[in-house]
Amino acid sequence: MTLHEYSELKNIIEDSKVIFCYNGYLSQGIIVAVSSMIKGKLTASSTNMGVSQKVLYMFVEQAQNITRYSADQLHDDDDAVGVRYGSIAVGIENEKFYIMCSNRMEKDKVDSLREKLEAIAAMNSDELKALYKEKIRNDADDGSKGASIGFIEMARKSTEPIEFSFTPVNEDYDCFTLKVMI
Amino acid sequence: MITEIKSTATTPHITLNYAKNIYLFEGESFPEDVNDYFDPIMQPLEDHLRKLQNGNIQMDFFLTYFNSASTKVFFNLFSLLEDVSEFNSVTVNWKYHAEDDTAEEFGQEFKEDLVNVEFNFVAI
Repeated sequence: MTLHEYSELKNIIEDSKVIFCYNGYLSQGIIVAVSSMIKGKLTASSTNMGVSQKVLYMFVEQAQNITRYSADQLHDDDDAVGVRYGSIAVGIENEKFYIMCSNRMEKDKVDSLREKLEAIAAMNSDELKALYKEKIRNDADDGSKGASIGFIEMARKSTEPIEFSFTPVNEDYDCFTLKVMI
Repeated sequence: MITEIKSTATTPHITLNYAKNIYLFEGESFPEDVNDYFDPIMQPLEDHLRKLQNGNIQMDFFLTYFNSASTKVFFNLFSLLEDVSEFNSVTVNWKYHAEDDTAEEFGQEFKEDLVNVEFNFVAI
C-alpha cells in the first residue's frame, strides 16, 4: 500500500463517520478493549443507554463470530475460539448506528448460513421471537460454539432488516459480510 | 457455605450463599467460552437447588450486558428455578438501570416462561 492509498483509505473511513474500524487478526482481548472504548464514546456523546447497550451487543456478537468462526486463523485448531482474521466497523449513518463485519468462510459452510440468514431476514418480529424461544430451549446447532441465537438476536434488535452477502474469494473460500442498524 | 466469584472484564460478580439461599449475578457477561466458564459454577448450584425442599430461594440479577451465549446460560438457570419452585419458594429480583430498556426487555422475556417463580423488576 502506498502512502497515497493509505491516505485515501483513511479518508473513506472518516467520511463514513466511523467510530471504530478494524481489519486484521482479532482476539478476545481486543474485543474487551474495544467494547470498553465504544461504551465510553457512546456515554460521552449522551447516547440513550438502551441504544448503547444494543450497539455494544451487536459489536460483541459480530466480533465473537469472527474469533469463533473465521476460516482464517493464527493457530490451526478448528474447534478453538482464538485469534482469527476479520473486519469489523461501527459508525453512524442517517443518525443511526451501523455495525458491520466481514470474514472468510469455507465454501461448504456457505449454503447453510445463507439459508439460515435468508429465513431470519424474511421473518417479522413475532416469528423471530418464536424462533428465538425455540432455539434457546433446545441444544445449539451442529458446529455452533455458542447458543445458535446470535443472528436471531441481532435481527430482533436491528431497526432495519439485516443485510448480508457472500462474495467469492477463491475456489475454497467466500467472504461473508453482515450489516445491522440501531 | 458461600461461593464468591469476583467480576472480570467479561464475567459478572457472582455470590452464591448456599446457607441462606441468596444468590447474586451482577455485571457483564461475554466470556470467550461461555460453557467452560459457567459449567463449573452452575453445576454445584443446580445440584444444591435440586436437593432443596421448603427453601426460600432469592436470586438477584443486575446484568448490564451479556452476549447471546450467556443468554442461554441464564435461560437455563431460570428453567431450573421454575423446576425447583415446585418444592420451594423462589423470588427473582431483576435489577436494571431505569433508562436501559434493553436489560428490561431481557428480563421480560425471561419472565414470560416462568409460572411459579415470583419475578420482580427493580429499576435503579
